[in-house]
Amino acid sequence: MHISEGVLSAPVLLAGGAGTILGLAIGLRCMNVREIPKVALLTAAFFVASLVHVPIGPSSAHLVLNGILGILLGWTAFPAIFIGLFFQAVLFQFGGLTTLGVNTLNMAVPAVIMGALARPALRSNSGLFAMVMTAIAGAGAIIMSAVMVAGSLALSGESFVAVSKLIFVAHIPIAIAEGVLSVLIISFLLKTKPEVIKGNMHSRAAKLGLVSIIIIPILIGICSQAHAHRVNLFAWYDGKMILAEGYFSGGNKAMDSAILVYDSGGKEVFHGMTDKKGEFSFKPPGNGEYRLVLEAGMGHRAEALVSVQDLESGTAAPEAGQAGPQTAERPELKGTVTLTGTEFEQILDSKLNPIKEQLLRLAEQGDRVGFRDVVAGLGYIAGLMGLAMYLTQRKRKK
Amino acid sequence: MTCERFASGKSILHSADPRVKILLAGGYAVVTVGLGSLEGQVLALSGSLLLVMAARLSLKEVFHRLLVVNLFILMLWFILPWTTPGTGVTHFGPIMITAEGLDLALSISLKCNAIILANLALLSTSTIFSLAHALAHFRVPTKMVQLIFFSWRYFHVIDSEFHRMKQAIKVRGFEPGSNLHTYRTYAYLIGTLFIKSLERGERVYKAMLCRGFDGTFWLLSHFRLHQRDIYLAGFTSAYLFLIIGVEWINPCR
Repeated sequence: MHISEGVLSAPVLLAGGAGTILGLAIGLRCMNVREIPKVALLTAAFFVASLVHVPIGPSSAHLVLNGILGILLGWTAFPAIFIGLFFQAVLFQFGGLTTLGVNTLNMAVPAVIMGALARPALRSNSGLFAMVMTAIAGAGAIIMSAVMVAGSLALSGESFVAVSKLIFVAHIPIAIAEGVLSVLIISFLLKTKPEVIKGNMHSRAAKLGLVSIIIIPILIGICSQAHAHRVNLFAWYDGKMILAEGYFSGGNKAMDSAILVYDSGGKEVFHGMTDKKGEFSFKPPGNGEYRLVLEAGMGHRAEALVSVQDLESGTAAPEAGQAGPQTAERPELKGTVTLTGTEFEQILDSKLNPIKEQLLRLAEQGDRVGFRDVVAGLGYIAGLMGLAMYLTQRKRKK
Repeated sequence: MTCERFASGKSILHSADPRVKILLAGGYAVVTVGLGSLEGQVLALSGSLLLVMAARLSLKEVFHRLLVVNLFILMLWFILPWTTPGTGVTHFGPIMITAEGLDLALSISLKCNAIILANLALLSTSTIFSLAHALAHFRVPTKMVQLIFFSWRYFHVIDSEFHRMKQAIKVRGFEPGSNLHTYRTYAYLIGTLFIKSLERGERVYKAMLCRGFDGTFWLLSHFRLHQRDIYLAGFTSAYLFLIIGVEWINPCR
């Protein structure tokens, strides 16, 4: 569940740190001075319990228990998780100091949300409903954390998408085990010392709205970024050859990637590799529509359609990206002027194609940077708000 | 449970002011995370190796710590080279290993180990208590510092309590397995631990009230900035600036 040092990108680290500062400020504000020893001892207990390895099938996993932490502590789960991770970073070098913010956020936000979800149910006297909600909270907190961990990785670079998927899948059995354990632990606490759960419920949930406004966009951003990377293929016909160029949304050329060419009947007519510039060319065997598929490893795949007509006279029919097939119009003025429509079109296309490509590339790059900036910006806003809240709290104390 | 394994020692880093060490560790981590060039990363790693040498830590222990962390890094080495798009280097059947992926895995390994070694040398050579004390000097909210103090103080108590209970179930013939009985036993164990902790927390609070606790966090001993702390800070910051310079000269990969 911990992300190590040196993996995440700076905007992700900053956004995580800012979110955690905000959460800590709220958590500390919710905590009364007289609750300090209690919260501290629960923190210590969670730290101890998280060292327990529970057998799951053939392997075992250590407990996280952030769902229960949320149920018992509410917003105070933020400082509790922060301290637990701080100890682990300093003592065992698990996680790390630069990733402390992101790691805390990834575990504490699910804790707070799931806690707020299960508490009303536990307060009500319906036994079964309460237990169902507890199971959802226990398992849901792990699933949510796994999604957030995967998201922070995916947001840091498209290379991590496969790793993040692996992490998510690995957490599913842990989530089920935690769900079962949460129900057992909470029902034990309800039987032995119900005031632990029923007693400490102040109106903490009311403040949930405020922060979810700030934190949830970050979450959504993290999730949506995972789909933002893709590979593009541009292909056109220059009269003799079909030319194609593949590159990733970041601007890198798709070098040495396999390209398959299918004809309109779906039959493979050619397969080859792109060169060092990400370019590819081949001579079409005849007129017709060709579908080019670029495979750049691990789900990076792009398609483009090129229609080849008039193989001899050389009519160009450019197609960009995933746009649908479009046949070049038959020139009406053919033969009447020196510059025929076909030639004119051909010249225009040869001039415009690179520009079109450049434009699309720029648009995508702009998109990408803008998005990261937004996430980082949200982080800054959250951090500043946290600072403001901290200062007002200090002022109030004086 | 001996967790603060590196905290006892007589090196220059052990006797340095924790406030200086926290600042240096923070600076070191921030600079290292941002490094893009191989030269900068190698410099950062060698710098933290020097710090570990200066702290005179048991190299066997340090190696053991690194081993655990590098298991995660190893996983990245197995995945990143063929999931990162870029120039192909070799093929293993349908799998293509890209130069960019190898670069990324190498850069993560270097940066991660550099930061961890620096933290080992700078932070783990202090006790948690002196780190929390130093945090109080940095105007970290009193409640936070108190939480860290109490959590660490009672972590050992609760840990030994937990081990006692675990021994008790072992004595009664408990064998962990993948079944509901195991889960129920662990759940009750953890539930009991929570209740014991809560009750102890209340007792501790009452005992503190009896001794006049009003929420103030008194700092009795104060750190003194020695000449050697200034040297340490000077040398380390100069090295960090050297890394930044090297990074600036070498183009980002």
